[in-house]
Amino acid sequence: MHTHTLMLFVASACYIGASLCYGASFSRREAPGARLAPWLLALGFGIHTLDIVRDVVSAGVLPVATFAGGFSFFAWLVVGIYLGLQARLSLAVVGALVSPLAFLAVTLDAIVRGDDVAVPQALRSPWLPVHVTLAFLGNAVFALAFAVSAVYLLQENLIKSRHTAGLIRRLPPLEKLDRLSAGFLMWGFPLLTLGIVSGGVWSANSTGHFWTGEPREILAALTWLLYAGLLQLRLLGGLHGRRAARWTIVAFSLLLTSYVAVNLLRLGTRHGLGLAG
Amino acid sequence: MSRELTVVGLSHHTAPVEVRERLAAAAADAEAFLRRLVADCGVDEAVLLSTCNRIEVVTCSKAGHDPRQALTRLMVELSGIGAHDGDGLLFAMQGREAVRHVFRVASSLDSMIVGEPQILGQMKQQFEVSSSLEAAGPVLVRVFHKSFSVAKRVRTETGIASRSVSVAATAVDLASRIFETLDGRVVMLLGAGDTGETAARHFMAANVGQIMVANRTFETAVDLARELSATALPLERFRQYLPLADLVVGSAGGGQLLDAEDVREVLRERRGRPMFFIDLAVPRNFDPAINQLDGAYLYDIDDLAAVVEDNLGERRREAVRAETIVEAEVDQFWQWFEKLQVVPTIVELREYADSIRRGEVEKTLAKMQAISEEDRERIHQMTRAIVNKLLHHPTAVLKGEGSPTEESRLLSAVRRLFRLGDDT
Repeated sequence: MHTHTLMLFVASACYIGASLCYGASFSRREAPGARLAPWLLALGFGIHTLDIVRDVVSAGVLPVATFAGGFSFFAWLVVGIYLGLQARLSLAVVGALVSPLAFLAVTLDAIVRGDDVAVPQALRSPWLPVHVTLAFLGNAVFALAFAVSAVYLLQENLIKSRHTAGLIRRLPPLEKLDRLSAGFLMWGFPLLTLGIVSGGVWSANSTGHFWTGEPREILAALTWLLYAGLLQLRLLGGLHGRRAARWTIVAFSLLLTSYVAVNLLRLGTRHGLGLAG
Repeated sequence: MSRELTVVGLSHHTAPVEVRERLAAAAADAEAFLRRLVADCGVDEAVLLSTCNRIEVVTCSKAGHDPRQALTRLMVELSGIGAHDGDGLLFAMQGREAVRHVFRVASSLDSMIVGEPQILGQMKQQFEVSSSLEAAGPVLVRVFHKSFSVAKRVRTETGIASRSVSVAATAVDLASRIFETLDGRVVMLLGAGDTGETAARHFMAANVGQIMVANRTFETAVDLARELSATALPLERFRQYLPLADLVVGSAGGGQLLDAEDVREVLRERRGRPMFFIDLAVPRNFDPAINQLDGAYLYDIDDLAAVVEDNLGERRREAVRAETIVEAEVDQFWQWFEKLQVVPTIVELREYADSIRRGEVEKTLAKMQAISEEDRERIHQMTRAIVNKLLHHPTAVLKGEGSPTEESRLLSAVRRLFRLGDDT
C-alpha cells in the first residue's frame, strides 16, 4: 500500500472514531467516548493535513484534479474551520455532522484516487491555487451554514412539537443557530465572490476569456445570485428563523448539485478537470 | 473498642409537619441539644441534621451499647409527642442501613422532591456545626465526607437533578432552548395573580432584564410591579408594548387576549426576533395557532404539565441508577468501617479469653493449699500459653487480607461466637 493510501486510511479511521464518539455524546449522558470526539477529529485532521502537504510538495499543485481529491480537500477545509471554531462555539452537534462527512470523503479518496496524478498544463497557472482555495473555502463555510440551518430546523421542530424529552437539551438554542447561520453566510459570500472572480481571471489567463458561458459558469453565477439574495434578505430584509434556514439549505443544495453535475457528469468541462466554480 | 453507627429521627416520610416543627424548635440550639445527647445517651460522636423536612441524629457509640432507646426517648420528649405516639413517627437504623440512609439523604434520594439540590448544602452546614462543637469524631467525619462525595457522584453521573419539575422552572428551561441567554430579555406578564408572579420570579432568577406587568385592575399591577421592581401597565394597553417583549406569560382571567394575526403583526415589527408565549391561564389567553407562526413558540399549561410529568418520570428512572451508586459506595464504606473493627475485635477476643482463664485459674488455685508462689506463676504461664496457642490462628486469619465480604462474615461470626461487645 502506498503511503498516501495508508495515511488516508488512518485519517479515515480517526474520522469514523470521531463520528461514533460524537454520536455517543448525543445518545446518552456521560457517554464514555464523548470527550474523545474532538481529539479524534483533530488527529484525523492532522494526518489529513500531512497528506495534503505531501501531495502539494510532490505534485506542486493542490490535490483537487479529481472529484475524490476535491471532495477530500473540501472536507479537510470544513473540518479545519469547525475545529478552529469549536472551542469558542461549543457546537458538538455540528461536529457530529462534520465527522462522518470527512470520513466519507477521505475513504472515497483513499479508494478511488491513485498515487500519481497527471497534472495538466492548465493547472500550472499561479491563479489556480488562489481560485481553488477561495472557492473551496467559500463552499466549506456554506457547508457549515447548511449544517447549523439543518440543526435549526430540527430543534425548531422539537420545540414546536413538544418533544422536550431528550435531544432538545443537547442541541444549541435556536437563536444561537440562527445567528451562526447568518454569520457563516456573511463569511462565505465574499469568499465565493472572490473564488468566482479568481476563476474568471484564471480562465482569462489560460483561454483568453473571462466568461465563456459554459454550464459550470452559469451554475456558478446562479449560485452566487442565490447567496447574494439570501444575504441581502438576511441583513436588510429581516429574514430570520425557519425561512432563512430553509433558504440556506436550498442554496447549498444548488451549490452541491452544480458541483456534482459539473464534476461527475462532466457538464461542459473544457479540461476534463474536477473543479467547481 | 468497636463501634456502632445509629440514626434516629423523623422526617417527612414519618411525621407530620407539626411534630417536625416542634422538634426542630427544640433542636434549634444545636450545642445544648448535642451536649444533652452525648450526656444522656452515652454516644461518642453525634451529628444533628435539622431541616424543614427532617430532624435526625447520627451517632457513633461503643458496640454493645445500643443508644436507640435513649435517643428515641430524648426525641420523643423534645418533640412533645406522648411516649406512645412516638411509635411510627420516629425511625431508627443501625449499621449499614444507617450509612445507606445518610448517603441517600445527601444524594437527595430521600427528599420530598427527589433530586432537589438544597439538601446537600444544608447537610454540609449542619455537619459543620456539629463538627465545630466537636461532637463529630473521626468515624462520623468519614461518614459525612463520604456522603458528600457520593452526592456529587450521583449528581454528575445520573440525570437526577437535570430536569425541572415545576411548571415555572420548566418554562424557563424551555426559554433557554429558544434564546441564547435570558440576560436582559423583556418579560411581559399578563395578569398579576400568584401563578404569573411565580413565573416572573423564576425568570428574574434567570436574570431577565425587564418585567412588565399588565392587569385589569391597574392597582394590583402596580402592587406586584413594585414588589418585582417591574413596570405596571393597564391591561388594555398591553398590545402597544408587546413588540418589546421576548417572553409573554399569560395568567389573566377572561379568556383569549391574543390571536395568531395579532402576533404575526408583532413579529413583523420585531423583524423576526423570536417570541415565547407561556399560557398559564384557564381559559387560555393565547390562540393555539400562534405556535404555527415562524418565530413564535407557545406552550400552554397542559403542555408544561406534560413536560413536568415527563421530567418527574425521568428523575424516578435516574433515581434507580442513583440507588445503585449509593449501594456500591455503602459497600466501600463498610469495608473501611469493618477494617476499623478488626483490631478492637482482636483485643476484645483476647481480653475475653484472658478473663475466663484468669477466673478459672483463680478458682482452682483457691482450692489448692500447699502450692508455692513459683508454682502459681507456672500455672499462670501455662494457661496463658494455652490461650495464646488457641487464639494464634484465629487472630492471624482476622488480621489477614481476605475478601471484604468474607472478612465481614468472619468478624461478625467471631463476635457472635464469643459474644463480644455484648454487655449483658
